[in-house]
Order: sequence, then C-alpha cells, then structure tokens
Amino acid sequence: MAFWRRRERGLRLFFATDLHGSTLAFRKFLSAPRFYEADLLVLGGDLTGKRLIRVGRDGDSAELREKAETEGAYLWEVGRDEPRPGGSDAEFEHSVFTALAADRIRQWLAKAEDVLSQTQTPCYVIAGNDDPPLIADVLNQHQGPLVRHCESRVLEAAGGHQVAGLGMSNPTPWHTPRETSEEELAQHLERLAALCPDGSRLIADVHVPPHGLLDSCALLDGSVSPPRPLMSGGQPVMGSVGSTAVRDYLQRTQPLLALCGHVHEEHGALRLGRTLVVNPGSEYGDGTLRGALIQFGEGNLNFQLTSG
Amino acid sequence: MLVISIFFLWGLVYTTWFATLGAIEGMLPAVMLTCIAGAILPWRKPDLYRTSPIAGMRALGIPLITITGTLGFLYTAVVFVAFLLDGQYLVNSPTSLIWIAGTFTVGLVIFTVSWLVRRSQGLDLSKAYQAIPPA
Repeated sequence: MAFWRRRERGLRLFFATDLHGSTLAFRKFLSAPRFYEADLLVLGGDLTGKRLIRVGRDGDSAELREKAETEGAYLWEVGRDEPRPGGSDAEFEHSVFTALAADRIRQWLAKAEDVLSQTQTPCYVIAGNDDPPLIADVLNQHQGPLVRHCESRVLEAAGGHQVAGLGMSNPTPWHTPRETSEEELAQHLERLAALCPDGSRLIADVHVPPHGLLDSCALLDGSVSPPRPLMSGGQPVMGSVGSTAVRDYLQRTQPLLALCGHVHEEHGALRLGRTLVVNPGSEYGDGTLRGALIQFGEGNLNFQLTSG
Repeated sequence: MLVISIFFLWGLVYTTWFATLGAIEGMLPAVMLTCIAGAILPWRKPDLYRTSPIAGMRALGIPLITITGTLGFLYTAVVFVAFLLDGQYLVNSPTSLIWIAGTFTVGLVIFTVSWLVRRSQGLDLSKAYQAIPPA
C-alpha cells in the first residue's frame, strides 16, 4: 500500500508515567481516549507528589489549591494552636503526607472511572518506587470496572494482549518506599515470568528501565542528605541507573512492549531484541503530560512520543 | 544527515554562499512567531500561562509576557524588513534569498513526507506537541 494512504488502524495504546501528584497532568491523561483516539491506557508508577505545603486555616485559596494540584504538592491546613499527636515532627508530617497522597489517588480513581466510562476505555495502573505502600493498597482495593491494578499479575487486555506490571525499583540514593535489591527484584520478575512465560502478546509495565537503555541521568551522592549531584571537571557525572534484573527479565521473556519511566530526563524508544522499550519521560511539575502512543499493526509496532 | 552536514560545512568554508546575514534573516520569522505566541499566551492558553513562573508578573496591569512579546516582535520585524530593504547587509541578493526560501521549502517537504508516513502508520504527527485539553 502506498505510504500516503491512511490504513485501517489496529489497537492504539497511550502510556504516561511519573505524574507525581499532578492532577492537571492526570486530567490530560484521561483525555487521551478522545484526543489521541486511544483504545487502551497504561499509567506507570510514581503517582505520589513530592511536596507538602503548610497553610493556615484561613490561608487556603482556590488559586493556591489549583497551583498545588498542578505541581503535585499537597496543602496541609494546620491551625496555630492545633494539638499534635505524639511522635516526632517528621513522623507526623510523613503520616499527613501519606494520607493526603492516598486521598488524591482515591479522587483520581473516581474521576477516571467517571471519564473513561464515556468511552469504555480500560486503564491499567501500577504504583512506583516513590509511592508509599498505602498507595499500592488503595490501587489494589479499587473495585472499578475500568481502572485495574496490574502489579505482580497478568491481566487480559484488548486485541488478545496481556498486561503485566511491577512498580518496585532497584536501590536509589533517595531511599524511596518501594525500592529493593536487584536480587529481590529479580525474584519478583521471575514470578511474573512464570505467570506469563510467552512474551509475544505481553505488554510489560515495569516502571524502572532496563540497565543501559533509556536510563541515563546525573548520578547522585547518596551518602549525604539530601543527595547531591556527583561532579567531575565542573560537569555532572552521568550514568545508567536502570535495573539489571529488569534487563535480564526483558531479554529472557522478550515481551512485545516494555513500558517504563522512573528516569524523568530520558525519553525515547529503543529495541532490546524483539522488545520495544519505551520511556516517555516526565514533566509533571508544570502540568505538562509526556506520553507515548503505541500503534499496533500487523506484526509490528509504531510509536509516537507526545508532549502536551 | 552526515553527508548533508559535510556539504553545508564545505559551503561555509570554501564558498561565499553563506557570507551574508541570510541565516539570521531566515531565523527571524521563527523568533517573530514565538514572540506573538508569548504575547497572546495569557488569553490563548490560560491554564498553561497560570502554571508558568511569569504568571504573576504585570506592568500597568498588562501581563509582562505580553509586553516583552510585543516589544520582541516589533524589534525583530524592524530588523527583518531592514535586512530585506537595505543592500548593505547582503541579505537581499538573489543567492541569499534563494537559500532562505530553499531552507524553508526543504523543511516543509521533510515535515510533509514525515506526516504522510506517520499517518500511514496510524499516527497523527500534528498532535505530537499539541496541548491536551484536561478532562
């Protein structure tokens, strides 16, 4: 067929990841079925924001709330003489942060079920390494018909495909809630491989990129708090931070498609054997949604990275 | 791409094709369009504008980005016209004008072919950087 002719299209998937609490980016993600005519949505991990902003009982405003939700921050309303529970300030702040993050995820899930019901578009989601275990619990307990948690399980998807996910990561300098050793990560992936040994129809949502592929960023010195960039000759030292366990898993099972994120600065798509590995990157901080459109053809995949 | 780069490097070093301000003239329309886009951003894309660092900055009640965008457009427009009208800049020679028009034409051809190829693959290239309306 001539290259200028429009072909009858097959399954179209839209993937975005690392939204980090940005409600604006999430609302854009929910527009993908109409805007990109996507038939299937996959949302990678790291849904939790990174900042907690204290405001007085009378310091809240619609403008501040909108800005915080766009940037992925949480507003914490505290009265001046409000009684505090026991424990350290850091522990208390952490519990407030986690509760606010979980509330936002519940709101997102309700919104997603409502919006996606208009087009009956399924959405597969995982928590990432930055998400506290409570977020994974919220996703796991969600009973909606369209948004489905695919962590450590293999789910049937449209077009005879399967979706499997794993949102944990290898160690990072930030000591995030759901990171673990490469050995333990390999065990989790081994269990996933046992559930679906044939990767020819598999879409793997693995969050962490394979080592050496779409995983380059400035290396950090984790021995200080907060971690700071390693410098050499006045320049930041760049290196691979992806997982060797994920690379082994992808090389062994050769899924049709591997969707990852984790490293925000990277965005691209590369082949690892038969597997198309995609990392759309993330710019959640200003509400920009980075994503990847994957078009399934007859025996091939085409992709387009997006930003909007 | 390497061959094209070598060709242009050869042209730059061994010919007088680029010994004009033609390249700057060719870039000015892009700068002018960017200035206009910035100037109208607060009304054209209010959501995007509100999330930008310049959002709260105003002078005489007018968004600062509108003032700087308008001034930038006027300045680049004056330079663009001056380069075209005044022969001392060596921009309005036929060679220079052909290079400017040719560069835009080649770019347009590359985009059109890419757009057609991507469309045949079921992908719409025009939406790659389009702002997505939030649901």
